[in-house]
Parts: sequence; structure tokens; C-alpha cells
Amino acid sequence: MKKVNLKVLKSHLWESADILRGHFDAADYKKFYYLIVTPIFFIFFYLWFHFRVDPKLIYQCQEPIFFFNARFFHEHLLYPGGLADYIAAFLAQLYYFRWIGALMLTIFVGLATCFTRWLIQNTGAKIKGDIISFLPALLLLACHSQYEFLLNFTIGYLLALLFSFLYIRFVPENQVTRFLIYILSSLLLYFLVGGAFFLFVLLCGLFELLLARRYILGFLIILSSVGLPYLAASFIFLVSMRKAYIYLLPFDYINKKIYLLHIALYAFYPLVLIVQDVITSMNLKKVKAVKRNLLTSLRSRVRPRLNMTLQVIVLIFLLVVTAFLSYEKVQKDQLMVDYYAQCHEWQQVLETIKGASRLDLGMIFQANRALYHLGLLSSDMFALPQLWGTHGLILTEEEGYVYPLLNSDFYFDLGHINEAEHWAHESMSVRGETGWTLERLALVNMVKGELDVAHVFISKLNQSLLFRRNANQLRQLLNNNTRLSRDPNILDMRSRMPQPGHDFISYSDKSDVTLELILNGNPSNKMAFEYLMAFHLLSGNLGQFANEIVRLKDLGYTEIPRHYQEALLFYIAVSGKRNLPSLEGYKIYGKTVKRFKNFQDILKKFRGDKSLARNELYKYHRDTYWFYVIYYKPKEQ
Amino acid sequence: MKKRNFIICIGLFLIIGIGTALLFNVEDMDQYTEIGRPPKIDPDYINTVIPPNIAPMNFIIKEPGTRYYVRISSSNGKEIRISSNNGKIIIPKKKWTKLLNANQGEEIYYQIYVKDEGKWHRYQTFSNRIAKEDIDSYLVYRLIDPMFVQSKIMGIYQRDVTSFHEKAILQTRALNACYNCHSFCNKKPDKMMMHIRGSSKAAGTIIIQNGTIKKVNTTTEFNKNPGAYRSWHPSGKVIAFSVNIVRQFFHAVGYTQEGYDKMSDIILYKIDSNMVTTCPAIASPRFMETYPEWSPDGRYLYYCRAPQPDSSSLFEEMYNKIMYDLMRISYDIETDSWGKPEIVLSHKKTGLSVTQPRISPDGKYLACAMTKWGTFAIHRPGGDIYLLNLRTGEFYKADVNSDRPESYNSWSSNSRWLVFSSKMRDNVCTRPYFTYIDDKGKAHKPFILPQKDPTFYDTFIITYNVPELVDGPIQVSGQEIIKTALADGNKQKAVLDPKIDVDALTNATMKVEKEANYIFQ
Repeated sequence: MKKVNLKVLKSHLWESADILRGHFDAADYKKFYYLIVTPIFFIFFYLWFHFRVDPKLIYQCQEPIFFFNARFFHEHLLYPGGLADYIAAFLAQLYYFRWIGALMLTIFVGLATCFTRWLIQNTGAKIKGDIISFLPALLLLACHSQYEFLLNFTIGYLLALLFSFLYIRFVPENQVTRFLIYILSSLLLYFLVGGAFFLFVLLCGLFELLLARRYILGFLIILSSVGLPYLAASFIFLVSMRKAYIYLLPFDYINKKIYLLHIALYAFYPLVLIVQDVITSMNLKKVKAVKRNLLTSLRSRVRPRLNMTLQVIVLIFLLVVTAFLSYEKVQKDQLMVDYYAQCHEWQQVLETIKGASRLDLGMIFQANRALYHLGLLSSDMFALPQLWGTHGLILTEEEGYVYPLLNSDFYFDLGHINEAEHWAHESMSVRGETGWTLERLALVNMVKGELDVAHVFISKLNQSLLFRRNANQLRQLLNNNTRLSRDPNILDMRSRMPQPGHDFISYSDKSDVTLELILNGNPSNKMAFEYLMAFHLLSGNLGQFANEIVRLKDLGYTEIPRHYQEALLFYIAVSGKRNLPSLEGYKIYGKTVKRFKNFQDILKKFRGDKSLARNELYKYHRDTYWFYVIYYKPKEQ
Repeated sequence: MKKRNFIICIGLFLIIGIGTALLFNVEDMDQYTEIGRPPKIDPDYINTVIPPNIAPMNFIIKEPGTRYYVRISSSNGKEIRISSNNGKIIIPKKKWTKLLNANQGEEIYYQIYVKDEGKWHRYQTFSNRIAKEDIDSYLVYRLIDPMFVQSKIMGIYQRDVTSFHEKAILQTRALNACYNCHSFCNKKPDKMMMHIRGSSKAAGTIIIQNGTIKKVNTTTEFNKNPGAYRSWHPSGKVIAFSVNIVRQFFHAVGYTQEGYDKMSDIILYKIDSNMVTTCPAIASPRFMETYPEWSPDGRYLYYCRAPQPDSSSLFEEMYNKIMYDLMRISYDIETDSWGKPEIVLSHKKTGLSVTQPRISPDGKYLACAMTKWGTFAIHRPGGDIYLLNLRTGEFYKADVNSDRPESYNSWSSNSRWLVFSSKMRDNVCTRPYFTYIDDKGKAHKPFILPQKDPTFYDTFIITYNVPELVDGPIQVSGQEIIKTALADGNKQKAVLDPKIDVDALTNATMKVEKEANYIFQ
């Protein structure tokens, strides 16, 4: 019997396997995997954007606006990259609809994959584009998982990529023709996408230099393009030289994560071309022929399956890692809180805050608004960690510029209509004319009775893409004096406004004085009262707090709210009973007194050592005013 | 082939003919009912005086209807006929210009027909008078969002008022800075200045003279803040600046915005020697001096002055008690010597505070904004344009005011046209309005800067700030200004006049000037 060695045996086994399952070559595997893997990936992308990122929150974060008017378009023609901004402004409206927004982002990621694949295939394809072509998609997924990432960057990037592909694939070989077509394309692309056209420059230049070996053309392409922004800024557009060069390039970010992701996205393509060049050079060596024999035999058997399986595994791994690292839970929570607050879904605001991994000033501010609207501010506000003290209740001027529209919302609730108007205008200055700001300003002026002023904002709102229905509703109300004068919302707002003859100056640095003045101008403003009391509690100004207790009766309270009882007990303990104001029939409940005694006992148990007592006090009293005073109250307050 | 072309031509001719007939469809207009009033049109261009070189004054007819037809005619030249389906009347520029040029000093008539519910109505004909005098061809203004504290969108623009062409000179996008107080010497575009504010490298005062641009830092040991409100001396050698510390705050009821000067002085910047100078009369610690304005002969500096409030006073108690008088002081540019301050218009006499005085180039009139207190006429109703006849002392409210704020103003170089800022249209944004001032000093009904789209102002929520009439386009490009503003080492630091005793000016130890004399008793 003839002996067979291991090599021959393996060969026979492979052959028999081939007979049994039919022959699969590398191309078949690729097709198979792409048919299965690609849709799965894009379904994942869609689901990711839809459920995890939620485009509606991107809209909430960016407040993009698009107006159907000639001036809006004209203004976007005044600088390089303006048209990319214009297209992005239009498309960003789709974020408002969750599923359409997710679909749009998935399409962009798909386009990035297609363009990358075509590019790689048309630059010599020494690198196999299987995994590689998915890498930009992953980076783009990570970019768009950042809520601040603007769509104009993606538009700029995709157009630059498309132009590069078209140049590399379709432009005739003749060098003069290539250069002329390049110049025309670069002029057009620069006008469309500004600095993002440098991706096109780099890809065309590197392609000519490294892969096509057309050195003169390559240098000409790069050199001619470097001067283009300079000429544009010097003679055509009113932009600074810096902006002329870098607009829509990844250099203008405050967010470091976006900056790095965007840089990686742009660096990817030149790197691929350079690697292509290196591989091409290596292939020239003689060794290659020998290796090829070995590799060919391996490829035809083991590698098609293994290679593709490995690629898919690596891709899934990269996808999971990218998704994990790019997910912005904290910011998502913040935006959800803002979103629910804007919809006046106050219970949802509190639910989101309960599940939030980290709280910030804006969230606490919204939570306090939610508590007030649910009638819980004076009984449950210390169930939240009021770490920012009075700042979490009323924003300072400086903080107001970070959240101008939010500040306007607050003053609108409060009935301080002029201040709501002031902050809506600040919001318009900081963030531009957005649908919400225009709607707020229309409402403010309707409440103030400035109907022709309201008309201006409604007319503008009517030119927007998404707020037309709101504009029409407001206009109908505005045009019907009887309806307007009986509208419950308008009447409610007017009832909370400071009455004529009670003008005062709004103090940005003395919120308690402002609240007191609002209350003096309109003693029935319950929100002003509760916020004033909350302010005194948070600032620890219990003397002032105790003096205001007398207002309870006029405002129709049937009992002293829980936190007020806690504060009164604390005040008595600190300053003595003689300072307690008349409670005019109201009582401090026995259970509150009992709880306060328990609080004091725990402190005594730890001999007054606050840090040692903290755990136990947290367990039983973390939702009390007393706990706030000892552990949360900011020192400067 | 020829036959085919002929048929095509006939076909096209028929299509165009039928289309035009359908579009204008005026044959059924012989029968109409008369409406005994003029139509409502927006902007309100009825019964006013217009310059012969103004751009077409397009308007929208605010009457219900499905078809609109307008005939514009005058004594000479061809009638203009315009048809519209939506009420927007867009006047062809060539025909308009021709008609206006042929009829200077004449009336121009508007006959308006509206078809509603199948019937034509003819409204009462209205007219405007075409003045004999042109208006300066350019209006330079700053576009800015209705500013409260912050401002993101801003730019300085020039608009050819004889057409609709607008050009940006500087925009926020270019330098990410604040631009303001653009000003021209003698209404000519060859000498211009503007400020670039902010912490950026570009900050400074840009001075343009005959095509050359320089950037100056006007701060000195005396004035820690740079110059603000400004006026070119007619010689073009000196610019008077006020140096202000401005505060803004907000009311709870009624008009929201409020502002006041915490302090202010006036300085002179001598362009050739790059020197800042002043004198105790215009930089007194006892007074706040602001809004300098040179007389056309350059012999007087007019300005506004109010007593400096006690630093210990609470601003909310005193802001509405700050009243500015109109002052003047003589100045001899040759000897650099000052006269004594004189009160031109006292708040005690008018009961109002004077701001933003501007003198007509013929030296006959002074236009100013008057307000109940302070200098921010634009922030409250009752801010109105007044005229003072500088020869007779006659002082009166111009017939151009609304019950909303009017403020900044600028004369044309022939002293016949005055442009002023007003919120009369929507109470949100200031818009430029023009009025004709006749030889008797009467201000005629104002009209808003015409726009190609007559509904433009309905949705343009941007303020026209500091409208300045100038008789030609600015002669340097925005790119050149940006280049100068950003160039390293390009900023000249002004030097303080060695004759100035800073201590004497800033301390109260200086000799207090004698009580000023009144010039119009």
C-alpha cells in the first residue's frame, strides 16, 4: 500500500470536501458574505441611530433651521462651504422625525462605504477593500453619535469623496485634460464645501504621485490648490484667511472626541493610498512570485472562508467597540430632559433624571421646573441632590448664556415676560433664528399685546420648514381678537405678569430681589412665591424665608409644605423659638418634628461628626432640607 | 426648412401673445366700480416726496383680490403698467428711472385696480412728489440682530439706493468681531472710519483715506477705553470721539431694553500725528460728554452733555434722571485752541434729553433724537427726531415721528434728505426711513428704504443700525480691510498729547469751568 504523507492527505481531504459541498472560490465567499453581512451592518447602523442616538435629540441639541426665502439662500453663497451648509440645514430638518433622521444617517454611512470601496477599487486595489471600506462608516457612525456633530461636515466629506472617485475613475489619461478637469472640479468643490476640498486635493494629488506615477501632474494639483483659498479670501469672499483654509475641515472643534474622530476620517484616505503604494513597491520584488504560488494554493482552499470569517469577526468587534466608545449617555440624558421639558412632559423629566448616570446644572434646573409644575417643589425638591444651590433654581447671567432658551422658558413660566423676551433674543443672537425662539418671541408679544410685533415672528416662522403648522395656528389666534382675548394660555400668562405700574429693573445677580419684586407686582403669582421660598432655602437665608411664610394663606395653601416645615424646625433649632414668625393657624406636623429629632439623634450618635454620620443620615434623611444644609449646600451660598 | 421655422415662429408668437393676454387680461377692465379711498399698500408709499434717483418703490397691495393692475404716470414720459396676481407690484427699473428723471419736481400718480369676486374696482388715485434734488446714492449701515446683550450676526453693508444692490463690507464671518460706528468725512466715501471691537487680533479703529487703510488703537493713559461715537472734522485731519462706558439692563414691564452711560468724555484724534488730545471742557469729571458733531465749517464742536452722576448713587434710582443738553464749543484747528462751552439746547427748556445731533452740510439745521432721559432714544417710545434751525434757534419736532422709537439720523450731502432709524414698522427692528426736508425746514412724510421684494421687511428680523448717507461706494474692499485688521504689527498706538495733564482731567482737583452761556435764550 502506498504511503501518503500529511500534505497529500490534506489535499485529498480538501478535494473530497469540495466534491461534497460543491466548489467555493474566493469570489463566491465574498459575494456570500457581502450579501449577508452588509445588510446586517446597515440594519445595525439604522437601529443604532434610531434607538441609541435618537435623531430627535440631535435636533434638540443643534436646533437647525431652514428658511424658504431668497436671502437665506443668498447668504449661503457668500462664503466657500456655504452651499454645504445650506444642504445640511435642509437635511438636518429630517432629524426632527426620528426614523427619517436615522434613515438619512444610515444612507450617509452607506454612501461613505460605497465611495470608499469604489475609491479603493479604482486606485489599483492592492489593498483588499473588504474590511477597509467599512472603516470610514464606523468613524462616521461614531461622529454622528456625538450630538454636536454637524451634518455640514458629512456633506463636505461625502462630496469631496465623490469628486475624488469621479476624478480617479473617469477622467481621461491625457495629463493636460486631467489637469484642466481637476482645476474646474476643484473650483466648484471649493465653492461647495470650502476647506473640505483639501481631501479631494490630497487624494487626487497622492493618486497621481504614488499610484499613477504622474509626478508633474501630482505636484501641480497640490500646488495649484494650496493657493486657491488664499485667492478666494483675498479677492472674492469676505472670510478670514484661516476660515478660507479650514472651514469644514476637522480643526474647528471644542469637543476633543469629535476632533479626533473627524481627523481619523480624513487621515484614512491618504493612508490607504500610501499603503497601496508601499504594497505596489513590494510586489515588484522577486520573492513575490514564489509567495504567490503558496498563497494562491492557500487562498483557493483555506483562506476564502477563513479570511472572510476573520474579516467579519474583526468588523463586528470594531463595530461593537466603536458603538461602545461613541455612545454619549450623559449628553443623551441631558437632551432628553430638555426635550421632555420643552414638551411639558414633567413626569418624564423626573423619570429621566432618576435614571441619569450624571447630573448637571441644566438638568437640576429642569428638574426643579418639573417639580414646580407637578406641585412638588416645596415638598420634594430635596429628594434631588441640589448640588448647585440657588444656581440650580435660577441661572445666573453667565449661566444664562449657556442655556439662553432654557432661561427664557423659565421666565415665561414665571410670568416675567420681558425677561423671557430678553433671553429669547439672547438665544437668537447666540444660536441664530430657530423655530422655538421665533415661536417664543411670537407668544411673548401676543401676551404683551404687541400684536404686530408677534406678526413679524410668525411670518418668519412660517418660512421655516417644520414650524409652519405652529405659525398657522398662532396666526389664526392672532387674527381673531375674540379668540385671542379668551385664549386660556394667554390669559394664564397675563395673570402671572407683573401688573402695569409695577415696573422694576431685572437684576441678573439678585434673583431673590427679582422674585420678590415680581411677587410684589403680582401677589397671586404662586410660582414666584415657591421659587422665592426655594431660593431662600437653598441659600440658607432662613430669616427671609420665615418672613415670607405669611403669604401662604393668601396663596391658598391648606398646610405648610414639607420642606418649609423642615426649614422652620431647623430655623428654630438654630436661632431660637422667639424668632419664629406667626404661623397663622398652620401647623408643623408631629411626624416632621419626630424625623428632625431622629436626624439630630443620629448626629449626636456620631458626636456631631458630619462625615461619620453621613451614611446613616443619607439612609434615612437624604430627601430633607436638613441633609441639604449639611452636605449639599455650596459653601459660597 | 424655412417653412418649418416660419411655423415655429408663428407658434411661439401665438403662445407668447395668448400668454400675455391671459396674464394681463385687462380688456375687461373698462367696467369697474370706484372705491372712494386710496388702497392699502405696504410699504406705505402714499403722498410722500421721493428722490428722482431712488430705486423702484415696489409695494404690495393689501386689498383682497385675485388680480391687480397698476398704472404709474406723470406729466412727462411713458406710463408704467404692471399686472400682478398676488398684489406684489414690482416696478421695472429702467422705466421707473426714466419716468422719475423726466418729471423732477412733478407729481407721480398711481392708479390701482383690483379684481375681486369677478369685478374690477378702481381705488382713489394717490400720488407722490418727485423732488428736484437727488439723494446720495449710497446708504451704509450695520445689520445686526435686535441686540440685547450678545450679538452673533453682524455686518457692515453698503446699499446703492438707486438700485437694489447691496454689498457686504465686513461680516462677522470674516473676523468674528463687532463692527460699529462707520463714518465718512464730508459724506465722501474716500475718507472713512469704523471700529472693530472685541478681544481678537483685529480689534482697533480702521481709518481709510484715499485708498490707504490704517488701524489705530485710540486708547491712551487718559482714555482706557477706545473712541466710540465719532465725527470727522471737515478738514479730514481730526476725528472727535466720545469715550464711553455703557451699561445695559432690562425692565419688567413695558419696553424691555434700557441703557445708560456710566461715564463719557470726548477726545480728538489727530490723524497725521497719531495723537489724542482733549480739553477740560469736553472731558470734565463733572460731566458726561458724548455724541460729538463738527459744524460744517469746522469751527464748532457740538456735543451732548449731562452731569456725571455721583458714583455712590444706585443706577436704578438715577438712570431716568440723566438729562443731556446740547452743547457746543469753538475750536481752531490751526492753533489747536478751544473756546468756552455754550449751551445750545437745554433740557430745562425742552424737558427732553438730547442725543445724536447731526448738522446738515449747509449748516442750516441740526437734527437730533430727543428722549425722556439718557441717550438711548431707540429703547423707548417717545424717542423722536427734532430739528433745530441753527440760524434762528427755532426748535421743533419733525413731522416724521411715530409713537414708536426714532433715533439715529444722517443728512445727504445736499442737505435735502435725512435718513433716520425708526422702529415704526414693527417695533422690533430699526429700519432706515428717508424724509425730504424742504427749504423751510419742513420734514415730509417718511418712506422706508425700498426693497426688491416688497414683503422683505415682514420676515427680515435684523436691525439696520447707524444708517449713513454717502455719495458713492466705499473705495476699498472688505478683503483689504480684513487684511489690514489682521496684519501683525499693523496697529498704531495713539500717543497722548504731552500738553494733557491726565491727573488734572481725571481728578476733581482741576479748575471747574465757569457756568456755560446759553446761545439760544
